[in-house]
Amino acid sequence: MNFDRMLSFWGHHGIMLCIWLTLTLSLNLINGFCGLFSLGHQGFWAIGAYAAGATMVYLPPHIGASWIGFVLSFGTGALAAAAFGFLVGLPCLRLKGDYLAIATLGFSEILRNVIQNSQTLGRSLGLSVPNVVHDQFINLDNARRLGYYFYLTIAVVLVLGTLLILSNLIRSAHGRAIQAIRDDERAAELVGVNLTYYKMIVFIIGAGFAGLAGALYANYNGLVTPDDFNFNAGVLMVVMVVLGGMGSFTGTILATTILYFLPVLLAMFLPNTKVPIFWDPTQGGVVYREVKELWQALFSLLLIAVVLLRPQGIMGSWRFRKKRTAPVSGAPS
Amino acid sequence: MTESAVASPTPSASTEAPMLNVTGISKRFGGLTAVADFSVKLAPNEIIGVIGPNGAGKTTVFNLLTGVYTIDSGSILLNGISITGQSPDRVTACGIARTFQNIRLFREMTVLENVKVGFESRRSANLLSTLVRHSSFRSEERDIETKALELLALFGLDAVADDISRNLPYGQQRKLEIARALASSPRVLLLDEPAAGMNESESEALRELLTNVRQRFNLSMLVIEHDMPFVMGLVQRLIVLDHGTIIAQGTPKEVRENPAVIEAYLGKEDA
Amino acid sequence: MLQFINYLLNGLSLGCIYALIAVGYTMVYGIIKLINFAHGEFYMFGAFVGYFALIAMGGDANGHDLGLLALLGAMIVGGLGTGMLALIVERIVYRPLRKSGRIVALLAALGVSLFLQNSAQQTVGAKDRTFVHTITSERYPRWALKPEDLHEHQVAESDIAVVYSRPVEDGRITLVENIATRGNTIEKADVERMNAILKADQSGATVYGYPAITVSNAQGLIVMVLIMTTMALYVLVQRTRFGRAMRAVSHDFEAASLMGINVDRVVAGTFFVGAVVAGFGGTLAGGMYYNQIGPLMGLMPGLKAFVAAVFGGIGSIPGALLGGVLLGISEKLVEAYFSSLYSDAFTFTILILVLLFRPSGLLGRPGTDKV
Repeated sequence: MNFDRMLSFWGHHGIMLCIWLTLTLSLNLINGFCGLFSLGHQGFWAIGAYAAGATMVYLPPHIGASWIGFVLSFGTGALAAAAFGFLVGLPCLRLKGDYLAIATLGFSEILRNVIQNSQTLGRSLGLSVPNVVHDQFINLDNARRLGYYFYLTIAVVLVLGTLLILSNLIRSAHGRAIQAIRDDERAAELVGVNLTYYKMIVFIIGAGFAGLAGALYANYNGLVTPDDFNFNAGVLMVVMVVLGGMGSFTGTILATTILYFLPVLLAMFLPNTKVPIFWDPTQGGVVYREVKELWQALFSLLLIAVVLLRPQGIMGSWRFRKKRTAPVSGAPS
Repeated sequence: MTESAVASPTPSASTEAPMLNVTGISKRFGGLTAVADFSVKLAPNEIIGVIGPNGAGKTTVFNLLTGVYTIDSGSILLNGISITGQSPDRVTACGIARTFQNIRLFREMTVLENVKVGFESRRSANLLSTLVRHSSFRSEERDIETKALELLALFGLDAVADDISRNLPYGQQRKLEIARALASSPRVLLLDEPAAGMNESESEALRELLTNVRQRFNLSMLVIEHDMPFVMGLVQRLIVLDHGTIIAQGTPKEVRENPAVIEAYLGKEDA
Repeated sequence: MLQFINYLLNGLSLGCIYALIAVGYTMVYGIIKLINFAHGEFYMFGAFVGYFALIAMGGDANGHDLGLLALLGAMIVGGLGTGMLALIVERIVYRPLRKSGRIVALLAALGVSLFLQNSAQQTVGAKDRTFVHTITSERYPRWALKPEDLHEHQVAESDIAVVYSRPVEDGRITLVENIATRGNTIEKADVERMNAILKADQSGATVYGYPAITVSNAQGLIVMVLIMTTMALYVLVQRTRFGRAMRAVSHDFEAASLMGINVDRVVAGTFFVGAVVAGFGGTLAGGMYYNQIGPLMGLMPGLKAFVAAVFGGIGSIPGALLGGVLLGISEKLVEAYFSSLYSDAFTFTILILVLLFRPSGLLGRPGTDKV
């Protein structure tokens, strides 16, 4: 395989992986560290992407479609998502567990419905974002390669920055309070933890990073559509966080990488052979599919299998992050 | 321990300004009165026991004092300042800390981290200095670590500081809860059945520890307890609750001889 | 006002479909506190089972009238098929996870939901398909008109339509041709169209006049099925041993199992019943409401039925029925008077408001927080 083809393949997947890593790391702050089980992270991502896109589309072209617009779009993406995080967090303060999950899902569905019907945001067809990087690099030699290098650099910086800030947050009094809320909300409150403050911080910071991921996505992809941010995208993020271990950044990185590349690799290596899969008189009898096409079904089976085989393990992984965990037996009930 | 060590054995005779002054608080759930007209004056450095049969409303009183439930009527003054209607975290910041009947540690966090969370209302580093790990943040973290380790040492938990708290044996979990509560530098400590599940020698040791802690931190305490020998040896005064109302109060000796108490509570215990 | 009543009637039939799905959600949640996200896919599965049952009966999207009995038969087959699926899913996935906590179970449910969606896309294909034709939608009440009384230039006193049938491959298909609407002048072309139809089909073509408010046979059928289902559920829950066991398990899982109730069987039975009802809903919605089915058809109705269950009070069967009907009606009213585009946003706003201000819903029991 020649270098350019490899770059466009691995470069693309590298950038997309970084976007997903930023999403799952920030989701882990909300779901894993604070125990606020959100199913609506795709909404924060969407807000970031659309705010960034709209900034570049609706500013005067000489600003919007220039480096200024490019830089600005990350700011507006993060801020808009953080503001939406505040908006979602406020009512969610009163909700717990599966009810909270449903409410966050509700918020992102409302958002998607509104975007779908917004003329300004391009309705279902989506919003085309000026490709600043492409336009600025077009006259250089190797413009395509430079474009990939440029986006890869930004994407890696974004992930590392997210990781640094989030781990600084977690390894602090703030982080301890956040984890205390996860372990026992009522006890945390009675030890002096201000639930409102910390839950809002968690939602705002988590949403802000998702917004940055959205801004990068909008710029890199050049088009954002409501369907990019559907419920299934949100479920995928949650699955990545849960399989990696709630409250473990290394676990999240590992699980996100594996689950991101799994379909890519399956698509590469699964045979093209058609297999009979169904019998349907309206489709002329036996229905054949390529093995390749079945990866999504396989993937969901995998999720069920993992949940079944490690039910406590997947939820309890945060206990592995400490050096000394010698269990002391004999705790009576 | 002598009763003269504290201000007064009887509530009406108290002349010193009370640390905690609770006047006529009540709470109803639906049609059910959980606590009716509960009053107590807790002098500085005094320990008062709250006893009563199961379901008498003892834990509900703690929940009212710490702001978990809002009171229907009455008032709560801490060191002369009203804390009525404050949220639980504000109440803790004002100076009331508590433990729980069924242990509520931060189960997945280490012993040390549990105590560190207890300093929440006594720390000040803001979010920005935290995220950039500013020097003021780092010095505060060091300070909290030192103080937390000191507290753990006092309770003999320094050796297990890095253990995950839910792996501790039961007795140490109880102690850790008290240590965590003390981290917020309370003026008043509410202990909900601290000796539950302990054997005689363990509860004896706990009693000594609590007496020690009271002197050292200059604390007042309210203690809910079923273990009679433990509570009789620890407190200066007793309040007996039944069906949400105070049916008797006084020195342990007076309460022990009160016929209403014998009928409502001790009588059953003996039977 | 007349328009309003028509919107109400439209909303009612949509609401009945929501209610049929919501019942299963609420029963399962009431008993094991699981939000079974796959329930919307059960509904989709039911629609496809019903669809293939009708295909097996020789039906076709543009074919002859299979008739009401065929539709009801397909509905029962669809319901039972879905019930079987639910039994399998419960046994393999949910039962081992019963002690693993609500969030783990929720994840498993998401997994099952994704799996059913994906495998449906691979088997029946991703494209939506038109449902099998069973009965033609006709409106009631109506009265027969004499064709010779209708002339051109005359103002129509009511809506007028011709109901006739036409032979197709295996039998006949009933068709409805609208001739005029109330208050409009009957044109020459209208009369000619009517006469042409009458001439071609002398056997049974009839001209009918309609009042301003009508109910279609589809609407009537959906409402009837909901009423019958409600009555059957009432008898099942209140009058049978199984129902008593179900209520006991729902009240206190541990105590019920200590008292010798076979909890596994009760939970499986609950899944089965809820899925059967969702399967009815799938076939009916595919056949008589949306007229279209596809692998993703369960997603939105599933989520909305969940909203309906929360709205009515999750865990309460009457609550789910009431919540479903009210949600359907309010969605139609929002579409009619506000905007047809924002009904999803409206529904989820209701969800969030209910969760915040009345988490126990309309008919649910409020819970307490223990310290």
